[in-house]
Amino acid sequence: MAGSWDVLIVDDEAVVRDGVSRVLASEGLRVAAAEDGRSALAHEALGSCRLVLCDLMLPDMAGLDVLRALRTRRPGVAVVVITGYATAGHMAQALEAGATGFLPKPFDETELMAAVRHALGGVGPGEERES
Amino acid sequence: MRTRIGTQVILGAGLVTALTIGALAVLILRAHEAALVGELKRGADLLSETIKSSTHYDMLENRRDNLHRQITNMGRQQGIEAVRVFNKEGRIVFSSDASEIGRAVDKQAEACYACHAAGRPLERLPTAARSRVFPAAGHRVLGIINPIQNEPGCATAACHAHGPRDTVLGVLDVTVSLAGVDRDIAWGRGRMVGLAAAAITGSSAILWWLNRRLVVRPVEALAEGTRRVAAGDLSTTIPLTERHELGELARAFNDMTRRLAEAQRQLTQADKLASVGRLAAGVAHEINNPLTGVLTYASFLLKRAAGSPEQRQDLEVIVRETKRCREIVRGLLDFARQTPPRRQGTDLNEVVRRAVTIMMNQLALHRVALALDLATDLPEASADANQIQQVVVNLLVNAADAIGDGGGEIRLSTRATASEAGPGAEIVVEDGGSGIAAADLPRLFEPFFTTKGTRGTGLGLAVTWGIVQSHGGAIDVQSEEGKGTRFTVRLPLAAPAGPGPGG
Repeated sequence: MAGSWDVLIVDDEAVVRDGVSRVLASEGLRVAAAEDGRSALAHEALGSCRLVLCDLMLPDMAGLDVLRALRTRRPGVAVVVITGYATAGHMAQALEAGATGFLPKPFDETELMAAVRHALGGVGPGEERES
Repeated sequence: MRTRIGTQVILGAGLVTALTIGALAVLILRAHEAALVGELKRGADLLSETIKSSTHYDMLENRRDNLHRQITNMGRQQGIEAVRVFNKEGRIVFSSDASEIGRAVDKQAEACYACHAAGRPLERLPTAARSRVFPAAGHRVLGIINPIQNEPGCATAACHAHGPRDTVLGVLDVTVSLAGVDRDIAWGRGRMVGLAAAAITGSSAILWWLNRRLVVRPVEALAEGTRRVAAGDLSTTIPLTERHELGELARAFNDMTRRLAEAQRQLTQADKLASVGRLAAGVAHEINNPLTGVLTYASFLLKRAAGSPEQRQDLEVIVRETKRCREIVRGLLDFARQTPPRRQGTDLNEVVRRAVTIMMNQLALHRVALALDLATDLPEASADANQIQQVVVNLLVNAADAIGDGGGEIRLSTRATASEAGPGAEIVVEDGGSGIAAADLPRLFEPFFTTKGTRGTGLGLAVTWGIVQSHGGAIDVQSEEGKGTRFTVRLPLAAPAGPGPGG
C-alpha cells in the first residue's frame, strides 16, 4: 500500500539507516528513512508512520528540536531516541521534548526489535494500521 | 660575599674568649704586680728606716766619712739602685753613687713632688705617698723617701749645723730595682697570652668540629636535597641522622617533598583523566555508529543464517566481539561521564553489603570465599552511596581476577580511622591473589593501564580513583607479588551535626 508506513528512521549514518531498515523490513514493517532533520520533517512517511527512530545528533538541526517539531506535527506518534552518546541530562531533556523511549547505540537485532515492539505497544507488524 | 656561619661563630667565640682572658689577665697581673711592688716597698721602707737608725749617731755627731761609707755599702747590696741623702735645699749630700754628690734636684722633681706639690712642704706622709715608681736605664725602679726630722740633739750638737726651728733637716732616698718584678710580670703576661692563644685555638677547633658535624653536613645534605627537588626529583629524601633542629628541618623537608610528589601525582592523574575523558567521549560518539552497523547486520545475518554451522559460528564471533567493543566504549563513556558525587551521611557498612550482594554470584563462580569484617561503631561517611558501591564492586572484581580460577579468599572490612587529614572511615579489600609487580604500582590508577590483558579496559581503577578523589578521600594500595594485594579507601566523615538534606 503506497504512502503508508510503519516506521521512520532518522539518522545521518547510512549504515545505521540501512541496517535498521533491513532488520525491520525483514519483520514485515514498512520502513522509511531520512538522513537529517529537515528531510525527516518533510518526509511523506511522517504522515502515516507509528514510530520514529531518531538520532539525537543530526547534521542540520539539534535532535531535540526535531523531536519537538515531530511532537507538534504528530502528537500521537511514538519516538524512540537512538543515540551513541547520552548522559542522564540528555535523556531528561529528550523525554521532556517528547521522546517515548531510548535505544542506546550500538544495538543488535534483538535489542532493536524489542524496543520497536515495545514502542508500538506490543502490537505485531501489519495487524493494526491507520486506514 | 658569603661568610660561613662556622667562621662567624668561631670568630665571635674567639673574640669573647680573648676579651675574657685578656680582662682576667689584666686584673690578675695588676693584683700580682701590686702585691710584688707592695712587698718591695715594705722592704725598701724597712731598709730606709734601718739606714736612718744606723746612721743616726753618725749624723748627730757629724761623722761624715762614716756616714758616707755606710751609705756606699748599703748602695752596693743587690737590688738596691741607690741610697741618697738630700739636704733641705735639695742638694745631694750623701750618695752611694759618689759622682752625683753635690748635684741639686728641682723640688718639683719626682722624689720631692709628693711633699712639695702644695708649695709648702708637708712634714709627714704615709708610706704609699712617700714611694714612687719611675723608669730608669732600661727597667723600672721604686724610690722611697724618708724625711729626716729635726731632733733636740741636732740643734744643740757641737757642729750647730741646724737651727732649732727646722722640722725636717733632709730626706733619705732609697731606690730599689723593679727589674725582678717586671720580669715576673712579663713572664706572667707571656703565660696569659699563651693560655689565651691555647684557649682560643682549642675552642675554635672544638667549635669547628661541632659546626662541621652539627651544621655544615646537615645543611649540605639539605641544600643538595633542595637542588635535587628543584631539578624535579621529588623522590628525594634526606637521611635523618640528626636529632636536633636541623634533623627536624630535614624531617619537614622530607614530609614536604613527599606531599609535593603526592600532589603532583594527583594533578597528573587528574589531568590525564580529564583528557582521556574528552578523548573517550569523542571516540565513543564516532565509533558507535559503525558499531551499530556491524552489530545490526551481523545479528540480523545470524538470525536468518541458513548457511552451514561453520558460518553461524563465524557470525557468532563477529557479534560477540562487536559486543565486546560496545562494552569497552561504554566503559569509556562511563569513565568520561564521571559526575560529581552527591554526598550525604552514608553507612559504609550498608554500601559494602549491597556491593557484596551484587558480586556474590560472580565470586561464587570464581570459588572465592568472602570474609566480611564490618566495624560496628563505624561513623557515617560523607559519600555518594552509589559511587562508593561502584568503587567496592570494582575492587572486588579486581580481587577476584587476581585470585584467578584456583579459588581463594577476599577479606573485606570497614573501620574508623584517624589520619593527619582528620578522622575518616576506611574500606579495606584484601586478597591473597597474584599481587602486583612493584614496577606496575605507580601506574595502577592510570587510565588504560591494565595487567589483565584483553580482559581489562584499564578503566576500572581509574574510575575508582576518580570517585575517591572527588569525595576528598584517598586510595592506597599495598601489594606483594605472589602474596596478594590490599586496597584501602579512606573517606571523610559526615559532619556530625545538622539534619541531612531530605530526599
